[in-house]
Amino acid sequence: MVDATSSPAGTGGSLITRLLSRFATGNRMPLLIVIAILWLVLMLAIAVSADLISPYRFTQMDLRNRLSLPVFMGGSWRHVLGTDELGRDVLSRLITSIRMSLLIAFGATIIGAVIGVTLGFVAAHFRGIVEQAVLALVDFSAAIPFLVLALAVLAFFGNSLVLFVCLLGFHAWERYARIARGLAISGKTHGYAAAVHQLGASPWRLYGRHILPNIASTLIVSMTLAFPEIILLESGLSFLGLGIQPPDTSLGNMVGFGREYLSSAPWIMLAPAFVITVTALCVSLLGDWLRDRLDPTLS
Amino acid sequence: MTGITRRHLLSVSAASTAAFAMPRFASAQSTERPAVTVAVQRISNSNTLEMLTEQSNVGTRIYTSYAETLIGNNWIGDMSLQPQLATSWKRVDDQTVDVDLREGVKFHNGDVMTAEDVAFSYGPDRMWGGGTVEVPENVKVVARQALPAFERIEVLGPHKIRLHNSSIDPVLEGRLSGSIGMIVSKRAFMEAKSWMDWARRPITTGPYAITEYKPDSVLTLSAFDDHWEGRPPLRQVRFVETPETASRINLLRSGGADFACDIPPDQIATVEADKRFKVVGGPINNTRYTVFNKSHPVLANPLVRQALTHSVDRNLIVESLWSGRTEVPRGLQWSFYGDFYIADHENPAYDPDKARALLRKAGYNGEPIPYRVLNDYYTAQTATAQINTENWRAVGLNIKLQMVENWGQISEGGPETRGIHDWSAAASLPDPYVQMSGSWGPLGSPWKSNQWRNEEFGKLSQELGSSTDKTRRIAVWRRMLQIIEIEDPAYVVLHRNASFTAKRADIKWTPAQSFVMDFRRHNWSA
Repeated sequence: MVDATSSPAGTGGSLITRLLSRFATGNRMPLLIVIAILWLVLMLAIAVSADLISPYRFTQMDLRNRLSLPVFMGGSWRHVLGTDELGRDVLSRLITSIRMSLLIAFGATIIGAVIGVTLGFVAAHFRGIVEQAVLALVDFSAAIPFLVLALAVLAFFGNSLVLFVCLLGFHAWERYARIARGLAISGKTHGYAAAVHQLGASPWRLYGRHILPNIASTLIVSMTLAFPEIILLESGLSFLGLGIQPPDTSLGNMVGFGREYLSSAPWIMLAPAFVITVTALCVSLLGDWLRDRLDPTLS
Repeated sequence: MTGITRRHLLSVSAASTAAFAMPRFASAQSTERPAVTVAVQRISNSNTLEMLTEQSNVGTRIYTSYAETLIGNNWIGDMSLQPQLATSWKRVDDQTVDVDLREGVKFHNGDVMTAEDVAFSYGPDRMWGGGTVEVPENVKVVARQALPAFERIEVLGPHKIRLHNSSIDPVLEGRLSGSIGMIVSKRAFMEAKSWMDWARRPITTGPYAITEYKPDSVLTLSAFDDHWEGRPPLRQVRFVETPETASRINLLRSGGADFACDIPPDQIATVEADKRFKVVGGPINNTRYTVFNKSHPVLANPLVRQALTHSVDRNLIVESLWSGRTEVPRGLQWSFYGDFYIADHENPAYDPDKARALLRKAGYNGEPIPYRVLNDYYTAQTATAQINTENWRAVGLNIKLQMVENWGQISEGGPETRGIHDWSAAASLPDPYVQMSGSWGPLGSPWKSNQWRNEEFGKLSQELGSSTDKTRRIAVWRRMLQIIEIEDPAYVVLHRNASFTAKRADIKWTPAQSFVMDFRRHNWSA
């Protein structure tokens, strides 16, 4: 969008400098946050290296070895987390599911943020009827329970991974739009924005290069709030059988298909349920902490 | 939900004993009879209760409670033909059967059944078209499939009819037991506003009358006390649609249902861990198979289909998913076929190397083949589909598993989008012509929709229907099996289906060797 050489020093790097300075000079990071960061790094590492680290192919079956116990319940080390109803290795499926669920959550969060911020900026720039239209859309979107909308869309258009990610991307876009619009309107009145405008910068440059970096911290916190919601939403829809479909697997899909075996083979659904809970909790904790760190009024 | 307590049940059984003694006059006690709720995965695929439009396993489960045919089946016994609305029948010659009708049979609207109603039920207005009202196309197809050489029914008297067939049919009487031959009230049919209005609430003669049908949700039947067998044992039978296995089991456990159908073998131990419940059932007269669309560009090559049939590990499926509780039949045939049972017919063996060789020979290059699967419409369907997909993948076939919601989505789209799907076939009559030619011959739906056709098979199918030479018919049948299962496969047989129903342990009720659920008085005590 913009080449780096022409960027004015100070504004573009402000977020990172601010973060770094706060990490360096602020209070010690709480233990809980350290754990949360480590967990998320672990999840990311698993998602990136899924093919390398999973002991079996996630669809590989061993029907003569169905529902075998995990190690912590006295099973063998061949299947550390046991096997499922088709004799597939639960650990391998869990690793693939983590990748699938994180991919969906990242993809959807980014789609939501891009749509929301763009519409927010459009509203802030044009004002008038455009702004009213965007705000009407925001209200409309906020008024409809998203799960109902998602069920309707999936029922009508069937299911594919791309459609599913895009659909979840529409979750919470209105929050970004509201934040971006409000902050952009107030940002435009600041001296730096007026100066750039006076120097003849295009709206692209003004919003993309100057206002966005200044409001990014708020948006990032908002993304950390939406991220676990999307993980839970994906899990919920997959649990209901409307999300990720076999032979693909995701955390919610594993829980959904494992529920029949809750009393006879609980390990099939306990592992993915644990990962969903802990990941959602960690992202929320981290987001909460980031908000505190980035809010100048709290320092 | 049903509010049945032990004390309540005791009083009910006392009341019903009294009812047996004085069948007609005990109606004051009718509110004391129990009501049962049955959790089913689907009530009706077509959202109708008229068996001419609902030819399915799930339709089979419900229709015997509210509708009756001339000749019935001993579903919970030896599957033999039983007098139902007909009291007796007699062959006049090879193409004609005389039937004596039961007297004093009432329809749910109070009308008395006559030979007119029977002739009407098999007549042009309901089945064949060309009468006074329009008949949907699919109804005509289904009727012709079930009664391929039916000519007409002649009314000989108020309670006597004669069935004329246009060709020789060794199992002509048996065909009168088919579900499409449910006897309906002529007056009610003609008064219905449209086919759909009728099909949602047909007026029939069964022991329970339809009181409410909410498609995709619930079917409520109430005792029809004027039934010719006397008062039915239950005040109400309710079928509640609950697609998820876990939810059906939970409904049973929580007391919301007295029966939960289609329990996968894996869950039997879980259900029975609670002493209040018992799982009954076993193998039934239904074969589970997976069918191919020959008009799909890749599947057009028989070698690819042969490779598919050689990479299905039936025995492992039966052993693992079904805990060995069902069996692998020798193709789409039944031992009750008698002389027509080809005892040395073999299914294509599980042989991945042979499958790979066939694919090489076919020049298959990993072109995708779609495989549409409903989520557990058939017991353990999703698991079975994943096992087969994995075995197919192992021999180099690129099968794209697509989970779909309903039967409409399975037949949707052009031939290149429809590859493989799951199906089943039921049989109750001892002649291969009924099942095989009905399903796969020129009158069957795969033939009509161009899913699978084979000229030689088509000719043989007709010959099987018209020939009277038994030796020749056996030879024809042997050749047909060879074509449709080995040379130019239309499907691959997986296993004999089994139906397991979880129920309250205190209910004495016997499951049928079919999907039929029998709630008549001879099959109920609690």
